[in-house]
Amino acid sequence: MSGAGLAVRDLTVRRGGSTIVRDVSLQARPAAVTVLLGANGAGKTTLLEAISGVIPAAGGEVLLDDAPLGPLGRRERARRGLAHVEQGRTAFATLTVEENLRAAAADRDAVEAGFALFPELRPRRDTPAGLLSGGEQQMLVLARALAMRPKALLVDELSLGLAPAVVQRLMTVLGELARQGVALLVVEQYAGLILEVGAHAYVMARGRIVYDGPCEPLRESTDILRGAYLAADVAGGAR
Amino acid sequence: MLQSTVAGLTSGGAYALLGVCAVLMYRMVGVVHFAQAAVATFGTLVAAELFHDGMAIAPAAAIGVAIGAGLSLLLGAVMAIWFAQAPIEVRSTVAIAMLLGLLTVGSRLFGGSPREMPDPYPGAAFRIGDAVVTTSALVVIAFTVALAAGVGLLLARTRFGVLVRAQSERPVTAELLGIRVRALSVAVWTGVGAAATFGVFVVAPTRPSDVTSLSLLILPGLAAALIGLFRHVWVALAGGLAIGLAEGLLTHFGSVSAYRQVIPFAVVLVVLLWSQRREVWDVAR
Amino acid sequence: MSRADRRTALTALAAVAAVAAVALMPLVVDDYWTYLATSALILGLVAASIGVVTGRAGMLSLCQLSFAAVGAYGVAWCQAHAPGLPFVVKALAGTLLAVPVGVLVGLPALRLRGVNLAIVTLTFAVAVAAVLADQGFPGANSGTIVERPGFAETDPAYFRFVWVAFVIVALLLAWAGRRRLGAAWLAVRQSERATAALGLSVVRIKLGAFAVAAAVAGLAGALSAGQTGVLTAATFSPLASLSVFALAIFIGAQYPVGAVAAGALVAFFPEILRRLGLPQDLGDVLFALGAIQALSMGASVVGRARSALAARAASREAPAPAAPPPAPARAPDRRRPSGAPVLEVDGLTVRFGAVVALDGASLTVPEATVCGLIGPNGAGKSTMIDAVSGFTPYAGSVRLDGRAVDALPAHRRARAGLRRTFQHDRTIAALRVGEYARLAAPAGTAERDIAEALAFLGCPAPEVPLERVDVGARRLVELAAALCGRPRVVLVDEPAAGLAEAESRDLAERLAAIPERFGAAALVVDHDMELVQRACAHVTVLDFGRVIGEGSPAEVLSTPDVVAAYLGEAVPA
Repeated sequence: MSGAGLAVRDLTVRRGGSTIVRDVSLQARPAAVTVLLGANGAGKTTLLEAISGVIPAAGGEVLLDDAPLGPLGRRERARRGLAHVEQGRTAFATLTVEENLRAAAADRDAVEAGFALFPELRPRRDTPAGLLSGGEQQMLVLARALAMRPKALLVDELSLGLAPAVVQRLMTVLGELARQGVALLVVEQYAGLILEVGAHAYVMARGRIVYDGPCEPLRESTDILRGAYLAADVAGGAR
Repeated sequence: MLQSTVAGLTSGGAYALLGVCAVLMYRMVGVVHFAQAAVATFGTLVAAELFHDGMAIAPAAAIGVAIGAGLSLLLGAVMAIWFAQAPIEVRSTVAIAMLLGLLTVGSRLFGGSPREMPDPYPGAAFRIGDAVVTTSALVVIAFTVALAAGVGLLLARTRFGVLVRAQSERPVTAELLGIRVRALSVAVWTGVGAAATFGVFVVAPTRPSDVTSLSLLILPGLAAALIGLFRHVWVALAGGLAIGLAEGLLTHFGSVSAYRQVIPFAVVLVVLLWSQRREVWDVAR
Repeated sequence: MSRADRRTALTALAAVAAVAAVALMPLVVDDYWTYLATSALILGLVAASIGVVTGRAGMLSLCQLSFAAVGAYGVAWCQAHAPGLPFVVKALAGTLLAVPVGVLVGLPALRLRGVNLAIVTLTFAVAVAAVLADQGFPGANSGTIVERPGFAETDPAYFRFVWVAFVIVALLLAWAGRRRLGAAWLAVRQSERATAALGLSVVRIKLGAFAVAAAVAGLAGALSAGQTGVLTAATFSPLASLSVFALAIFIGAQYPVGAVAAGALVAFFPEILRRLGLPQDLGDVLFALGAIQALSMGASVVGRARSALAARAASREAPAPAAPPPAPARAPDRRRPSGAPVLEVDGLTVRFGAVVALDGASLTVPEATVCGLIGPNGAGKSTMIDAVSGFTPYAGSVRLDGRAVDALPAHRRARAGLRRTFQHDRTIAALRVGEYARLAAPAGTAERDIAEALAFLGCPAPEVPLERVDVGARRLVELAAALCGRPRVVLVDEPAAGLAEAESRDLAERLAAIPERFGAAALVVDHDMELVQRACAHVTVLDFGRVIGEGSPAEVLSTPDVVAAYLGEAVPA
């Protein structure tokens, strides 16, 4: 897919009187996994919600393939190709696996593509999503977002509460998606596994970006992350 | 005694229909629709006017149903545009306000006194012993059964149904998937409004047919919906019939006849307290 | 005289003048208008009752006119069976008769909320109306007329009598509104959990609200009986209840001004429309539209006016003085710390369906110590706090000062000295900082102690309304309020969320000083490791519901297991 992917410029987001996200700028290029790390409370979820339109932004702009998304509501942004996998278990619990996919898919092919991506869901196609295991639900949620055939995909803590083996599986799929040309912005608390598939990384602390650079330095040494998560000084970190 | 009990079937049918509509509205668009019967009354009274002006009953009924559907569309649009994110208590209070507005406008348009209603399905259908089951009772009950079954199929088997269920469960997530949540909810309002209008039109000849009385049919309808815990359509249907039959039975005993209006309250109280006995904390807060 | 004092004095003067002016009104208008005005006041009382139960306590009651009917019934019964009694006694009898009915209708409110409660009250209204329509009021068949009191037989005199009653009720409600009772109603409206965490009994508060609302409505019914003399069921119909409800919500009848306005609108508006030659039911339609509009904006007419006035007043005032840094003004009354455990949690297991949120977790908080509880997202920290404070069922045991508290509900644990704050702001936005803190404190706590606790944590001044305080500061107020409750131990859930770095550091200092200032121990959950290191003497680490480490902060934070838990596995050490 051509285009500049997802761009965020000087985004500021307020919630309940406090400024949660301050002047954040980042870029998620197509055909790449862009990783966004940070401790809990750093503002990552709020940032994603402002990008997809779940909550309004107080300042700054969001562009998808160089087209500003500003005045558009969440449904419009979704129609333009911006998918958002929200934090938590957001599968439609009373709908079956297949119905979850059909809700997002325009045609039969998109539904089948979902099963192709996660064959382990095929035998469960008529099971209500609420009865699936955590890992299966997250696979479903990811497949559902992909059934929209998005240009950009925001993923918020897909691995929350899942066992490492399942997380590994999901991360691999994310890497595969990037190869297919989607621009991915992935938020994670667990740095280890996502950094393996990431092409570029940002680290957020207290609403600001404190690291903007390649993934290797973060993979090689935990100092930078420790600094941002566990409050030691932030060393290095290209800006 | 059997006759008076069976006579309660017509009312019971109306309660069952309104109960089913209330459950559907609650589950699909997240509102307790206090104004459902008032909207249906509007359509019904328009049909009555047209009939009295000389139109045949079938087209008059069709126009009445269309009016009921159109009014519901309007109300649904108001709800979807301004109250999409509001909690269910606020949405339902808005429905109360709609009920009051409709009652006032209705009294002005149609006058406050009961009128003679066209009887689309006159006569008796069959007998049970000494008791007679009227055709209109049968029609309304059959229609309600068909509605419950039809909507059940619609929700379970069609893409439309999938989308409606998805948006009722998680509206924000549905929007993020590009689903037209607003249009869907307005469609539900319109469809249920049409169904309710037809039902009220059929039973209107057997009830005091002024604006207020017909509009307040919603109250036993809500009681029926509560029996189904606003979740189980068939239980609400059965509940509505049960309330109607119990009312009919009590009419037989002149002395306690007035207390038949206490039945919905008693049933509702018992059912709710039983179902909620474990809910110590308010879920969200 | 300060500006605030001057304003209060002026308001009081204006209020007295208004009361006097209304009392003198019948002198200038004819009896017809006086009669209408009496109806307005009576309806105003009903609206005020809705203001209490729905406006303040947040419970949807659609049967207030049924309580009025009970009050009227009481008066009519007295008239039929004991006509010699003074009217005031009859009215009192009617009012008191409504109270147990109100409590009975309030019982479902303990388990039903929102629309479920609304529908139950509505079906009750239908039942009452039907029974009344059939049975009629006592004495209706024999044509008994309710007699007005001897001193208030004419319309103007009766108007003054009703006005006096209205003013007394309004004053009482306003007075109650400023006391703990009123604050407690507002608390229950916003969050039952928050109310219980303050040590207050939600059951008592809810039933109390219904009792008071029924009494006020019952009084209105009794006065209505005196006004009309002859009673019909139609006056007390479910529709009438619905109408007054919509009106009360639209206008905002929890404020005395709102109640009067509501009553006046219903009584006078149709008359005014008639004089203007406009259709009278236009009024009802306007009310309906107004109610819809008010609901869409989330606030009533009077509510919005008050907010606007308050905002204007605030912008004119000097900004609230920043609280002084903590200074030990007086030594707290504390026992000598014995090192004994004040909180023992043993083998706590919490399940939500198939998910095990806590798996046999145990920890101990020694007396007068600040401990930390850390762990990655989803580890079970908030679940631990919920379970220990009594908000979630669990298996295992919790002991406070050696006594098991497992059988106590949340609000009793709070009163026993086991307090907590919440992860997401649960302060009561409708209250002022000081009012909220006072709710948590035991009755009879000195103003000074409360102000000191607030100042200690750097909270805004007690007069500041909480809705003007930002989220980070509200969390501090919540913590200060918990400390006002003189707890043995306070469980603090993410106090630094929403604070900037410098404020976070200040908070860490203050947390560390809690044992010395308040004689309380603390268990602090947070993700800010700097705060945890500065404030806590001892740290426990949770992951996937189990304790995976404990010790001093420095030890724990450099343990490889703990680092791995936070950063995810497969990170090179």
